[in-house]
Amino acid sequence: MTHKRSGTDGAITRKPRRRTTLIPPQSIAALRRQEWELADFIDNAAVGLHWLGPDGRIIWANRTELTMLGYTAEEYIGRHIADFHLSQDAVRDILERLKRNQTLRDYEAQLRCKDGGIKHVVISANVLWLNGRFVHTRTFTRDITEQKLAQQALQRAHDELEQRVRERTAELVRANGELYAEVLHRQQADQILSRLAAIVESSGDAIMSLTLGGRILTWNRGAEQLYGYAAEEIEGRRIVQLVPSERQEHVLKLFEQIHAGESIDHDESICLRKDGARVEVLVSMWPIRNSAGAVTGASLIARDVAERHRLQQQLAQAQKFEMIGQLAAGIAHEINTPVQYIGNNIGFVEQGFASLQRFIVASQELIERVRLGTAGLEDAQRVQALSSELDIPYFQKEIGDALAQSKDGVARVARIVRSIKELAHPGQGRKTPVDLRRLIDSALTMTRNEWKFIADATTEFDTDLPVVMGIEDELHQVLVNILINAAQAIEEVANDGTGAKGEIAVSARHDGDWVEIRIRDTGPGIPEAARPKLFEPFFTTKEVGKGTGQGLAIARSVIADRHGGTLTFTSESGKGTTFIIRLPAGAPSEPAQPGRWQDAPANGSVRR
Amino acid sequence: MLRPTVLFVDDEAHVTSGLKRAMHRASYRILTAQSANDALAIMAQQSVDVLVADEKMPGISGSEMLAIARRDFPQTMRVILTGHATIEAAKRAVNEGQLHRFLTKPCTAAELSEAIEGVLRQKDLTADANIVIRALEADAQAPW
Repeated sequence: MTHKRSGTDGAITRKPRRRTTLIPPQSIAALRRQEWELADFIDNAAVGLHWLGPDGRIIWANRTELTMLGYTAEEYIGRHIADFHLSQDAVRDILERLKRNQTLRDYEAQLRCKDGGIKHVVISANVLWLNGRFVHTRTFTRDITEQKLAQQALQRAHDELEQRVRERTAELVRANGELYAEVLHRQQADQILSRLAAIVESSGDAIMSLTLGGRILTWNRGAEQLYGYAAEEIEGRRIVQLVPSERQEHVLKLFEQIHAGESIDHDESICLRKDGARVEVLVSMWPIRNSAGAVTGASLIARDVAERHRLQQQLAQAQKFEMIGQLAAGIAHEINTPVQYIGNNIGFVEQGFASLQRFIVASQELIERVRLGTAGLEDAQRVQALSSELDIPYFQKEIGDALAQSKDGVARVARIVRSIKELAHPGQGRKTPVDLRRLIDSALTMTRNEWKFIADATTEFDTDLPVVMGIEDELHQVLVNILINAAQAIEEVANDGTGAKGEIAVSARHDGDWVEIRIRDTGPGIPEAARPKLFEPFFTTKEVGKGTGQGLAIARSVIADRHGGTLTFTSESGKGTTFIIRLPAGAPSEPAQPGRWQDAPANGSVRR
Repeated sequence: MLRPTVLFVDDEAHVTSGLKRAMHRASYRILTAQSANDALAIMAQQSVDVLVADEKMPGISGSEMLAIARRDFPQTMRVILTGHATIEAAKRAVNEGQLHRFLTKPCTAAELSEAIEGVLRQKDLTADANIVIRALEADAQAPW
């Protein structure tokens, strides 16, 4: 059909349709050609074509369809279409729809090829009806196998991709989770680190980190205060700069220990301040290890112990005076009593000497007269009378005793004064070899007046008793404290009416690397409730004026902190208490005999 | 007149023998005891004019003994000679023992003699006063 433009006004007009009623011969030839061309066109169309009869049998198919499925026309045409469909349900459905005059568009189906292969196709079809009669179907079959395969491949690729994406996503989630945990961990670690840094920085102790070669890496404020160097002055310098020359070798040994992975606990040391002053410190060191466990450096904490020592000493000194105050009455008595008879005896000896001198002069005169031959009997009688007038026989009898007793008294006074001096004198806080026998005797002397009326004291020393390295006045103080307690305990049961004396038994034994001193009393025992608090400062069961509760606290501090020993006790109600002091042993000292503790005898020595 | 008797009590024999020597020139008869019980036993047997006691002794203390002596032997003058004068001991001795002198060690022979002489004079005066009082009492009972 053609459209022509006519007129100049642009309007389109349609020519009336012409009807051909007669066909000329040349037209028949043209028609035949036309028919051939059409058949060829249909045969070679890009899609497969077939017609089905109402019974579903194939009436006609074009070459494209035959080629597509690989059948010859004879093998294909005349067969029921269901023979070629993979799905009988699909065939039934297609035929049903067509019979209901539906037009199928791109209905997907699978057809069986001659070689056994399957072709994926889409079918478009409807029915040619003539006067309500099913003539045949018009079925267009397009091969989409490649497309389908491509699609499937694509789907597979897609699925695979999705799977991979899922996997990667999961991986990412996991990694993300790990990262999050890591971040959290880092944050916590950072918090801990900054907290630790704050602690390190605010610590009163000097804290530093060091290389294995002894170079200072970090330096806190406590170190600045202790050593007098600012961090920027000292970081990178060597630690030996802070150590007096005579101790440097010792410090090198400490580093060897660190190198070997050992830590150093509370090493008593001396350090040098920037201003040259020497400070007593307690040093602890630990190896710093890398993640592989290898020692890469050292951390070091140094504490100024001078201040603590000073305070401890002051407290101990104060308690010492409190103790001496308590003992004052007894000590005064112990001194004044001998002084009393020493004074009386000296006065007596003085008189005696004057009398004796007069008697000697008279006697010499008599001798002279006898020599000259002028002496008469009356002269001798006068001298004899003088002797009784001057109490010469009495003086002769008494002077020896008066002198011996005075000597006793002098020894006693000397002993107690020495004990007071030993106790009251603030020591240098330095350890020296201490003879425990002498120290125990001295403590018993000091406290004698506290127990002499109510108890007997005995001492027992191992013959191989070693000396201990100790701070003498502090150990003395401990012994005196415990002996005062023992005396006070015994006093509680002394006036029970039986009149029986109590007992204080002091022993010192050698026990391997230790020396053990036991001080046993026969007092009432320590009340159960008081036992756990016995060594606490200010804890006392004593009445006012008999102690402020410092004695045993200081005693324990002296024994444990200053001497590395232990102070314990056992106590039994109604039986008494035993205090047990254990001290590290030093070298052995000369042997001693056990015995009853006595006052200084006339010769001034003490029998043990 | 009889020589006055002085009894020294001290748990330490050295002290009493020292006192005895210091007083050997004085005109007293001197006795010694080493404990309160011994001293009280002596006093039960013989008259003692002056009792000089240490405070701190095992068993009965000096001031306790003075209290007993005051009750049982009121004629005896009471002196404390202590090694350490505590307020407590002094209070006890004054309040319970109603002592006449309180001395502390060390005490010289001269101080001791002076104290003993002093309490003996006091004792004489008391005795004289007692005679006068008894005479007055006798008069009061029989005024005519």
